[in-house]
Amino acid sequence: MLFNSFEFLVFFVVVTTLYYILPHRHRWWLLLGASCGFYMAFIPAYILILFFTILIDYVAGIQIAKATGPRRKQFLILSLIANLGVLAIFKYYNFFLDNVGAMLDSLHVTQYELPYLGIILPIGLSFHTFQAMSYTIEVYRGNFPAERHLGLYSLYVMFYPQLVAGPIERPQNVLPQFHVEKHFEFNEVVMGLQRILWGLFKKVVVGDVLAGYVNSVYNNYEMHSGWSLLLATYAFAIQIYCDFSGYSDIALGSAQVMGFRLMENFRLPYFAKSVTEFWRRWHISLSTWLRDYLYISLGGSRLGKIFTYRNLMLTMLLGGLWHGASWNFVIWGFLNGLYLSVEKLLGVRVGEPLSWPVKLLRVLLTFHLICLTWVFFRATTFEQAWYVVTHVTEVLHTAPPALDLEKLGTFVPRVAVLLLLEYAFLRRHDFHLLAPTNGWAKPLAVSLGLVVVLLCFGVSSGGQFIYFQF
Amino acid sequence: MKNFTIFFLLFMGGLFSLDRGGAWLLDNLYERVRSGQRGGLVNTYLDLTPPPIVLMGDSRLVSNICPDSLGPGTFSLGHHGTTQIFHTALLSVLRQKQKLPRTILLHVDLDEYLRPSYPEDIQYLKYYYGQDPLVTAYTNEWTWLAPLKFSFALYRHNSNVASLAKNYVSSNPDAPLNQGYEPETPSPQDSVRTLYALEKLNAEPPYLNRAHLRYLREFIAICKQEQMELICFTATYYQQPRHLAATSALVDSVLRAESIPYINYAQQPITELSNNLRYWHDATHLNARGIPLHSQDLARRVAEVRARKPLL
Repeated sequence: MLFNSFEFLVFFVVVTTLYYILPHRHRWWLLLGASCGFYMAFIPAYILILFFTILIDYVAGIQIAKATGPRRKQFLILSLIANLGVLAIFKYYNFFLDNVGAMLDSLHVTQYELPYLGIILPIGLSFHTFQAMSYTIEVYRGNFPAERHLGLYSLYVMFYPQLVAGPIERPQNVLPQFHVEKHFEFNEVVMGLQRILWGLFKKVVVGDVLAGYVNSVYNNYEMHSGWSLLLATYAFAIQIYCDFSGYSDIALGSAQVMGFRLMENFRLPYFAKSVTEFWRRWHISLSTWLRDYLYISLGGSRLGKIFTYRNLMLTMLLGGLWHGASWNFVIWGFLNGLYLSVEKLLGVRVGEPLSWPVKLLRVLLTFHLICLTWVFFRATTFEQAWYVVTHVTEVLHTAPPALDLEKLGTFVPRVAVLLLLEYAFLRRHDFHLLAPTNGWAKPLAVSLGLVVVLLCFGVSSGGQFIYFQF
Repeated sequence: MKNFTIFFLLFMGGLFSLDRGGAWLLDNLYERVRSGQRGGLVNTYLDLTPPPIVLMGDSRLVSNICPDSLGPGTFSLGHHGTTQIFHTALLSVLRQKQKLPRTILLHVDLDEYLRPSYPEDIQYLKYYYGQDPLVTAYTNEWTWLAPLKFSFALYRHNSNVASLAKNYVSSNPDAPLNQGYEPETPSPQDSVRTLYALEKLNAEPPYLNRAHLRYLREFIAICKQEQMELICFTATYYQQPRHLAATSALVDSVLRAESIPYINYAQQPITELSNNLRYWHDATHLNARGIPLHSQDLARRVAEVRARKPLL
C-alpha cells in the first residue's frame, strides 16, 4: 500500500477515525494491527521476519536491563547478530555470491555453481533493522529503560507511518509517546493533514513527473545526448528529494494527525553550502544514526586527523552499502566520504558567515558535487554510471536539443514552485505558519489549493517510493 | 472537535465548489482542443462526418502509415504508446458519439502479446469516464477505487492540465486538417536506434499473454454489432524478432476464428524494407523515407482483401 494511493487514503481515514474513537488502553492494538496490515499489503509472509527480530530484541532489551557485567554485552551482541544476520541474508548474501562468482571468473574457474537465494528483499528492511538496533544499543548504553510492554515495543518497530522508509527513530523519541494518552488537537490534526498534502505534492506533482523523464533517459542512456544525460541527472536530484522527503512529510503528517511527533528527516538539503552541511539536512535520521552508532563508536574525530578521515570514509562506505548491495552504492558512499574528508582537511565549517555571492557559489558547487554522487546512485551498473559521467561533458561543445528545452519548460515551473514554497515554509520554522490558531483563512486556502493542484497536476498512477527498496 | 468539524465542513464546501467549477472550466477547454494526442485528435475526428476508412493503432500506425495512401479522407486515430484496451475503448466512444466509420483498419501490435496487459492505458480516455460504458467498465476493472477517484470531477483531467492548456493554446482552427499522421524525419541516429531497439526486442522473454486477446475480441464484437468492415494488419519490422512466430499464431487464430482479414507483414515482410537501415527510425518504426513504400503496399493489399471479401 503506497502513501500516494487512494487505498492509503481509505486506510488512513479508517485507522485515524477508529484511533480517536477507541479509549487509550485499546489504541496500541489498533495501531499494531493496522501496521501489520499495512506491511502485509506488500509481501504478507515477510511479517514473520519482523516478528522474529522484534521478539529477539524485546527479550534482549529486558535482559540487558536486568543483567550486569559481560552478560549485558552478550545480549546486545545476540540482538545485533539477529538484526544484521537478517539483513545479511536478505540483502547482501546474493551480492556476496556475485562477487565470489566474479572472482572465480577472473581466476578462469568455469565449473562452479553458486547457491543463490531466490528471495525478494523485504520492504524497508534496512530501516526497521536500524531502528530496532538503536533500541538495544540505547538500552545497553543506559540511555533508555527496556520496554516491558511487548505490544508497544512491537509498535515502536512497526508503527506504520515510518515502518518502510523511516524516519529511523530512536526509542527516546517514540516509545514514551505511545504511553501517553493523545487527545484530539485541532491544531495538530490540521497541521498534520497539511503536511500530508505537502508530501503528496512533492511526490506526485514534482517527483513522479520528473521520474518519467529520468527513467526514459537512464533506461536507454546510450541513445541520449550529453544534454539529456545532464538534465536527467539534475532531474533525478530533484526527483529523489521529492520522493523521499515527500514520503517523510506524509509519514510525519500521518503520525501528527494522531498526536505523535516523529523526527524531521530533511531541512532544505539543496540549500546546503557544503557537503558536510548537506548531510546535516539530508536523511537526518540516517546520518545521525551513522554518526551516533558508527562514526563515534569508531573513535570519531578524537583519534587524530588520519583516523578521522578513515572513520568518515568507513562511515560513508557503510552508509552506501546500507542503501543497497551494489558497488555503485559503495562508490556513492566513497564519493561522499571523500567530499567530507576534503572539507575537513580544508577546514570547512557549517554555519560560518559568508557573503551572498560566496554562499550562492558554494550552494551551486555543493549541488553539483552531490549530483555526481547521484549518477552512481541512479545508474544500475558501473558501466552505465561511467558512461553518463563521461558523456555529460558533451554539453561543453554542443547545443541543447529542442526536446530537452521543451522538457525543461515542463519541469522548471514545478520545481520553482516547490523550492519557493519549501524555502518560505522552512525559513519560518516549519508549518506552524499555517496552524489554525493563527487564523483559519490561510490553512483553508493552502489545503484547498494543494488538493486542487494534486487533482489537476498529480500523477495518480505514480510509482513506488525509491527508498522502499532499501 | 467542534472547531475541526466546522473547519472540515468549510473545507469540503470549498473543495466541492472548486472541484465542480474547475471541472466545468477544464471540460470546456478540453472540448475546444484540436491539437495533441490526448484529446485533440479525437476531438478533430468527432468534428468530421465519419470518413470512409479510419485507421486505429499505436505508434507503429502513426509513424508507419500515411492515411492518404488509402484514399482521400482516410483518417488515422492512431495514438502513441497505447495498447488494444485503448483502441477498443476508443471505438466504444466513437459508437457512443455516433461517429463510427464504415471501415476500420486496425494495427495489431504483436509485441503487446509478449507482455502483461497494460490496463492503465484506459486513463488516456478518462475524460469519458461516466459517459461511455466501456471506458467506465475498464476503468472500474483496473482500480476498484475508481468511483471514489472520479467522485472528484477534476479527476477526469488529472495530470493532463498542463498539456491541456498547451494544446488549447496551440489549437488553430484555420490549420489544415491533421489526419493523425506523424512521419519521423530521417536522422543520423536512426541506424544506432534501430539496432539498439532490435536488441531490446529480441531480449523480450518468451511469454505469451493470451488474456490480452480479450480486448481484441471485444473490438471485433463491436465492429460486428455495428456491421462495420474490419481489416487487421501488423506493420513490418526491420528484422523479424524471434518471438514473432508464436505471437503471430496467437493473433492469427483469433482473427481466423472471427473471419477477420489479417495482413501480417511480420510474416510476409516488404523485402525492400527488411534489413535496410536507410528506411528505419528504429526497429519497429519507419522514417519518412520508408513510409511511402509501406503505405502504398498496404493500400494495395487492403484493396485486394476488399475485392476478395464482402462487407461484414
